[in-house]
Amino acid sequence: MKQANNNEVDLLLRALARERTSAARQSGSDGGDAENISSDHLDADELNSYAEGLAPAPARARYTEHLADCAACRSVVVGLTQAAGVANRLEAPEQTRGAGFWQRLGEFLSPKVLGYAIPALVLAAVIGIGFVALKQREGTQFVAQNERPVEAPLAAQNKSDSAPGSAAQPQASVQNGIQSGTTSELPREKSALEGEKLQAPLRIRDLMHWNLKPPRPLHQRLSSTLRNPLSLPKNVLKSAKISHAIRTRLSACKRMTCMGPIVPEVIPRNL
Amino acid sequence: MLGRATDSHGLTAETITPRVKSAVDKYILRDDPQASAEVIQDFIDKLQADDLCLIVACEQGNQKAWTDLVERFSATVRSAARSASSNEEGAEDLAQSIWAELHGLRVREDGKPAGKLAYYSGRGSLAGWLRAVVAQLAIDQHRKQSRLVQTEEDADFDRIIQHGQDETTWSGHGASPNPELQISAKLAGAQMQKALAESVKQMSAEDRLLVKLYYFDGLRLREAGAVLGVHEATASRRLTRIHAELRQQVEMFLIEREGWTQPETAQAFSEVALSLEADIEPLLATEPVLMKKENEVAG
Repeated sequence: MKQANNNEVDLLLRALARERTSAARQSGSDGGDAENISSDHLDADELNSYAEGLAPAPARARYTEHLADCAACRSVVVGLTQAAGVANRLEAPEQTRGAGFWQRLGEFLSPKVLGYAIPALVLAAVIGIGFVALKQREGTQFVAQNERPVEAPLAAQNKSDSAPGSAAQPQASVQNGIQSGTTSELPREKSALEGEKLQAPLRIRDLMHWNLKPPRPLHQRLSSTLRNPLSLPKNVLKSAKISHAIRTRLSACKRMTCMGPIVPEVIPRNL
Repeated sequence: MLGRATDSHGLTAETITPRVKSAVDKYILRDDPQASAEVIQDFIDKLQADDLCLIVACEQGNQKAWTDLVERFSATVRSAARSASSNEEGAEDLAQSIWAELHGLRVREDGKPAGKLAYYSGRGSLAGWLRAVVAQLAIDQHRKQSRLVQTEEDADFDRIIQHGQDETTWSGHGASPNPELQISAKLAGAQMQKALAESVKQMSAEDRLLVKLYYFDGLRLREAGAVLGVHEATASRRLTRIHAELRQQVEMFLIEREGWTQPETAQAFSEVALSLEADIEPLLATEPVLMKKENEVAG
């Protein structure tokens, strides 16, 4: 209804403009005193300062009053405004200044924007999840790879402690390390396992890494979890879903450790 | 002021001070004789120092400054002359005559030429001022050549109002077969035309200027808004408000002065608008400007 009212007034104003134009033409042909009118026109300096928006507010109001009723001065100001490119300069400040928070929020949540935003967000989420999964997989490999140099001196130390010329150095060091601490370190390992610290089993796992080169992908290691749980990295061992199974398996490993040297390959597959 | 200018052209404070004082009187003290020193200082700080020094030096007869002025702004003057003239020959004549107008063909009492240079205040850019001088000169020349007389638009409105009282120009029931209805509808249209012209005259200068620029001069909203120093969206909002206010004023005019009832005014609005819409369709097919405006309204 409001829009219809506006259209009605719009049409009436257009008709009034046509009527005025024809009336001006008619009166122009009849003649008149142009000089009297010309003496009241704005001068070039005033017109230019108005067009460039540099006239002080009171002076500008006075010029606006004149321009509203003087077609000649108006035509000059329109030309000057277009030549100065005022319209282009007005756009940017108006857009940022005029919009309030709720208006901008409403524009942001408009169906037109959401039509593009939702698919873009879904795509970004898929890419993000894939990236995180990839990083996690790489991280597990890096854990295995990065630990080797640290483990090497440990193995070397174990090697020096053990008998020289041994054919199976890692196994010997495992045997040496675990056997030497069989009575004293076992309670500590047990408490560590109970607290899911897994400090003691890491030595076995590290030695397994020493033998297993290069490290296998995570999914392959997960498939062999039950068969050989000690080969898993620490962060996988901490996983709540598999910790129970692994804990059971580790307990079995430790029982075997008490009885003699542990070799991962000799762990019965049916355990 | 002279310190801000990159080239003061050898001017001294004595030569530039009267010019600055004249600008302050024109733009500040005329509207507010009690203006504070801060306002005046701010005004002076915003003057175009380089352009004003160049013009004052030209006025002082500095030939180097004249050469500099012509070299820097001859392209601007030619461009403005081409925009103001209908043909290339007229544009060239106009561009040539501008320099004579700037220098001044007559001599003042102090012996210096009475050119238009004396009217540049430095408030706006020199290029813009030169364009304005060219445009005004073109209008003057056009008036002298064609004897076309510029009329006051207020007088036009008065004529329309008078016209509305005597004749019936807008017909709401043009297709009605009943002669009595036709006459009453024409009378209603004429009264509405008169009421609308009165209402437009009573609007504020800013709103009236927007209506004139958009409806009477055929500018787009973007261009009309630029003249007023507002964005297109702001101009559109103002126009919507103006439509609502004009309707209220016209209704009030018809009810209070013509003795109409509220339903009669509402009916007359819709019928006259329908009639005008029918009248305007043939024009839309031939007048691209009107078509442009209709598209803007529809958009």
